[in-house]
Amino acid sequence: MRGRGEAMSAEEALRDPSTAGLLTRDGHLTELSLERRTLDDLASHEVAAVDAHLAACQPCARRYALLQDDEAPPLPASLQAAIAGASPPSGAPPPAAPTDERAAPVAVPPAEPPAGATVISLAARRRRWAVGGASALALAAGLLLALRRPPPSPVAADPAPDEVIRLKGSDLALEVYRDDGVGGEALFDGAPIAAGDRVGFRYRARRPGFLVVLGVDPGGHAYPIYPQGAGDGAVAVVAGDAFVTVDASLRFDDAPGTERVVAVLCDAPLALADASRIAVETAPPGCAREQLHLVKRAAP
Amino acid sequence: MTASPDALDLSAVYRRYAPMVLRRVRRFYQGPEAEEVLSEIFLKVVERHATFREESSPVTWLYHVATNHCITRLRNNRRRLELLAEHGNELQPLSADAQQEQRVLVRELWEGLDEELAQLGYYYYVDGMSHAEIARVAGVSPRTVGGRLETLRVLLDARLSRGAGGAA
Repeated sequence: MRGRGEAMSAEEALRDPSTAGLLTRDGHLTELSLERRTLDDLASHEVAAVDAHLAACQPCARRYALLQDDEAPPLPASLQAAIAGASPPSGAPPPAAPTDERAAPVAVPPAEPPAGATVISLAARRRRWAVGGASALALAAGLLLALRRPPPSPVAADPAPDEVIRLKGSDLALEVYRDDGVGGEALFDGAPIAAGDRVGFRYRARRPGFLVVLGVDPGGHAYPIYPQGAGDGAVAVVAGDAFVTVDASLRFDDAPGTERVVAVLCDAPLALADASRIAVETAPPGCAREQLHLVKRAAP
Repeated sequence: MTASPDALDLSAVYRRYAPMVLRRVRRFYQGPEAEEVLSEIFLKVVERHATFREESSPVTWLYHVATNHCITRLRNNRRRLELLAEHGNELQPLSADAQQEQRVLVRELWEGLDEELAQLGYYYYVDGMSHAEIARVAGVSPRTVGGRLETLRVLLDARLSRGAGGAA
């Protein structure tokens, strides 16, 4: 995690020649920069620069927030026909998640209900990612996780956004909200947060699969948020149109930097170690990934 | 690019990128026409998706394809004049203090520009991009961008001078 003295200001982040192109000549983020940020198309150093700017520039933050609400218009019939006629090159892998399977019931019964059954334990989290003793942990429902991190997972590389297959708005959606005990304000991607803020999570899976929610600290280290104490693997979830609240929340410390919250949904069971790799690297076929960035500001 | 359309599927590409492309199109077109243009652009993507693989970023590629398509579409269309009327005050620095007459001259010249010059000019004057970023998006060298924008500036200056002289 980035130390206090290493916080990157918006000015510092965008002074770098490699990120200068993200700005217009009058010092705001270009339209393309905001689009690339929305679609996870930026390199990690560019993400840091954009997020630092968003945290400091209200006009750009407002423009960015507006991009988050748009849904794709329905696929026109003429385009459907054209797509149907376009045969992929030989050897191309099949689509990761055929549309007609997304609402199908899960083939394997879920190990536990998708919401409210997995409990987070701060102590367990500090020991290791997955522990047994679910009944004891159940007493700790809603326990906050402080972002004093356990030993990081071995994967530390920054993600390669170009390689991420993320079907936003279709298979998997992730919502982060400021947890005030009664629901709270939904946070947009890149939202600023302050030390002591508590956030909760909701997901929507439109295909059945196996879900893991992780955090990735500014140093690129993944750590589990959900599940915790439910064994070594992801939680089986059923398809649905409603958002499901994850029984976990995070409280942030005062070290500035950008934290990522990543939800991973895969067709097949996966271990938390695999999920952590997907969180920081790529999503393989059969997996969808959704993430939000939260920009932690230094304590005043 | 790993997530090429053939590796995913084109429907998924549409779901993922159509909102971004539509927002870009709406800088040029409004209402139902915008969605019509969106379809045209994705038809192009279907036709050209083999070249998609060669691009480093699908977002930048689609952004450029959308910009080019819209400018080309406007070429023989009166909407081009409307566009320039909307963005006339954004043609910095040339129009910052320009009088209405000068802005009309800029519009006329803009309408007559070749497509590449119009695209680069749009990125520079309307989007406010730097030369380096235009070069990255358009897939040309920064030197080319600088040269073409200098050509554009000279054209605009000359036209404005003539217009001012003629008006005097």
